[in-house]
Amino acid sequence: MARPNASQAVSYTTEELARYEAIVQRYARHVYNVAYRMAGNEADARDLAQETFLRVYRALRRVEPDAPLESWLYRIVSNLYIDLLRKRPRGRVESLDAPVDTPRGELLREMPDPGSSPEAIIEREQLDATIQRALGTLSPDLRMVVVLSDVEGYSYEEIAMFLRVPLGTVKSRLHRARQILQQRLGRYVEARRRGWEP
Amino acid sequence: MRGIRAAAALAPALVAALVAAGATLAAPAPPAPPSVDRVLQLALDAPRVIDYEGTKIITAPRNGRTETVTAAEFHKRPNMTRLEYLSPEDVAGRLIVDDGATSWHYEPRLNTAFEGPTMTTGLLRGDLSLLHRNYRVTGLGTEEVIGRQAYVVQLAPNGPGVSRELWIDQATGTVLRTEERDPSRGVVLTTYFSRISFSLNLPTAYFRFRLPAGARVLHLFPTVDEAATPEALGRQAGFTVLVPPVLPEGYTFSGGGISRFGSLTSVNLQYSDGDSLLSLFEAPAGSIGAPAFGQDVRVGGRPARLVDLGYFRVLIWDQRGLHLTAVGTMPTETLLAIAGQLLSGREQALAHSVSRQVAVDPGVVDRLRREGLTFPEITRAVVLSQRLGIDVPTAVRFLQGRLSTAQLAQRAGVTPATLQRGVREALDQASSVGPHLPAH
Amino acid sequence: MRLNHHRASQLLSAYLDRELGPAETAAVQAHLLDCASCRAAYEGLRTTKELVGQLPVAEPPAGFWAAVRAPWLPRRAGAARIRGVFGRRVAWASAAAVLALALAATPLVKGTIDRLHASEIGVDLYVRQHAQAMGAEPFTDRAYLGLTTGDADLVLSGDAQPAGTAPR
Repeated sequence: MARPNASQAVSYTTEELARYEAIVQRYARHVYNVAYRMAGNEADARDLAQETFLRVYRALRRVEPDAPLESWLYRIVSNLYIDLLRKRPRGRVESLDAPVDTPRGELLREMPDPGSSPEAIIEREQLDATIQRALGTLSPDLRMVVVLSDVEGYSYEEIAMFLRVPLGTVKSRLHRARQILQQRLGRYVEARRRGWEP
Repeated sequence: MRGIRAAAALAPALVAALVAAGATLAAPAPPAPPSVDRVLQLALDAPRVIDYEGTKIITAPRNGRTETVTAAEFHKRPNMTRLEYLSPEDVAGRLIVDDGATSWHYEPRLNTAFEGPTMTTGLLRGDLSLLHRNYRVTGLGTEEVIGRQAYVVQLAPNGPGVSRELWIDQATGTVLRTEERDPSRGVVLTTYFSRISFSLNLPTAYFRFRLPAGARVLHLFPTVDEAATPEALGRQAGFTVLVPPVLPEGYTFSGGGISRFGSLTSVNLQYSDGDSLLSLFEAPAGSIGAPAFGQDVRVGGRPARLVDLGYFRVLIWDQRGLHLTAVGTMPTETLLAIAGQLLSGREQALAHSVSRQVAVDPGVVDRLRREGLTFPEITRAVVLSQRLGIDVPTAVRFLQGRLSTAQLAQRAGVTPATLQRGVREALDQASSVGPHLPAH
Repeated sequence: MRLNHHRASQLLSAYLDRELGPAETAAVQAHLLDCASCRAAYEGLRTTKELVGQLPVAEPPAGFWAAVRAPWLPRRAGAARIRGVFGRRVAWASAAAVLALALAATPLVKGTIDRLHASEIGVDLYVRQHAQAMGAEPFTDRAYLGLTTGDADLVLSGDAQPAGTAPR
């Protein structure tokens, strides 16, 4: 029942360990990315992803070889994140990495090719921080749908399956989430739109 | 009994209304959506009108984490329920059969059946006036749920507490999906049908519990002596019952009882705001101790214990020879503040101050306290009675949602609009009188 | 198929994601030709999706890969912060082990709870009663109430751990 050392007690065969390594290779980067976009800071993202893989490790014998695990993994991340919100006082989860302050709108009027000059890199980083902060203002439900759709690129059907919600809910949540984000990012959206449509 | 007959009388009219609604919906030009109040009423009436069976998915905190539970849910008009739990493993096979009077819970693994009181009283007694008074009810349009059109309605409490969204089936009024949101934690409870089929007649046999051979039966009927007031409960229990001086706005005394489990006698006070419930249990200190789990907290400098079950929060403390337990879904700080007010032991001072500030006989304040009213409620009732020239008990009944605005206007001999203005002014005036829970 | 403005505006995100059927896609397209405000809304949504989509893949911090590859090793720096969240379960679980023993010694006798281990199961008793009383509120989910009262019944019969403790 008490399992502080349960993982140590499990002794896996070499094949099983190789299977675990393959799962890590295939999924860990995506899991970390989703965790990071949900939590908005490195420390929580790392802990969420590590905890997720600890669960995979413990349940390894029940994992079918080659079965797609996205659904299970994202559900774990989502549940762990909600646990985290639940057990921590409000406001402390989002703010561990202080986001860079919003840059002035003028800077963004011409959207440079990211990755060229040092200034452009800084601007891109500031924009990323602003987008991340806007994501952080969404409720976890809406955020998860946006992250899975627009960051990870899953279809509505896949997201509905991952989150165990009806397709219509994915559709309406995503629409609501984008409307909120558009409002929060209004200046940037407008700048970019004008850049393309003079 | 009376409730059932009233519901039965209502049913044909509602079926007609539903058929009419269905016909209009099929017409080429979509009609203007019904008012949100009408939609809630449709949901409230639905269980008395239609039978259904479906698969329900519940996502809720359980065993210290978020779990998803699947159950087959059967409903028969007006208030019969059958629940067959399918997963996860530790609930698979659990059966609950409630015929509207008795609830049976059978656990196949133990071959044990638990018999207790029904949990369906809300289906017949349901009333929305208190809810309308304490929640902002907003229509959020329509959405598709499992291929059916549903109205989305949000219930947001005026005070701190859990808000709820309901997806209400357009055709039948059945609640297809709910989401409960805690201000500090996000969504704490989601339930939805992944499949549902409606019927006008499910077999009654589904809703009769048959005891399997050799099953052990445990009776979990608390010996409840319902009593109308905390004072009467105290007389029966043999100790003076403590009444909370202040609760979040909208919570009002909705009933109480004495329960006896073995050697443990507890008084139970219930406060409702029309959608959420706060239960306060009081038992002689020593008959029950603090649990070994949960976390230590301090209330008014005194030790207390908080057990956070994710959905429910339980606060336990000792006071004046009593062991008190508060159970509710409200935020932890609110629960702590309520306990803090109780523990401050300023009953006499508060009673004196209220009676002085609203110029009312101290005896009136005392009497209303013994009936379970909080000090802010007493203040509001007294100010309202003075403003409208009605007696205090009538004002109390109005504030508790047992008398509608229209009924009160008729009694006071004014138009509902004038009355509403008077009520608002009276409540504003009353809000300047203490005590208050700290704002968040 | 023709769509009114409201319905079309609700479908813009799904249209953008190519998640509509052919008939709906055609109907939204037709509406976009006619409706300037929907065109503007669509552009806004598209730009928003692009902005979010251009977020770089977050690079895990040093030590992440080692920790994920060897989850059996104790966690180091940073983990203490979160241990308070996920690790509490462990502390509860060991408390639960002790409690389960205490409860096993005080089961229900002949269908009545007269030797109940009051200090530990009082919480479940009260949560059960509270849940039962919630059945009187109009929009309480009964399947959830059944789950809660059922769980409490098991504790009261001495067959499960108290609600405040967490297994696993």
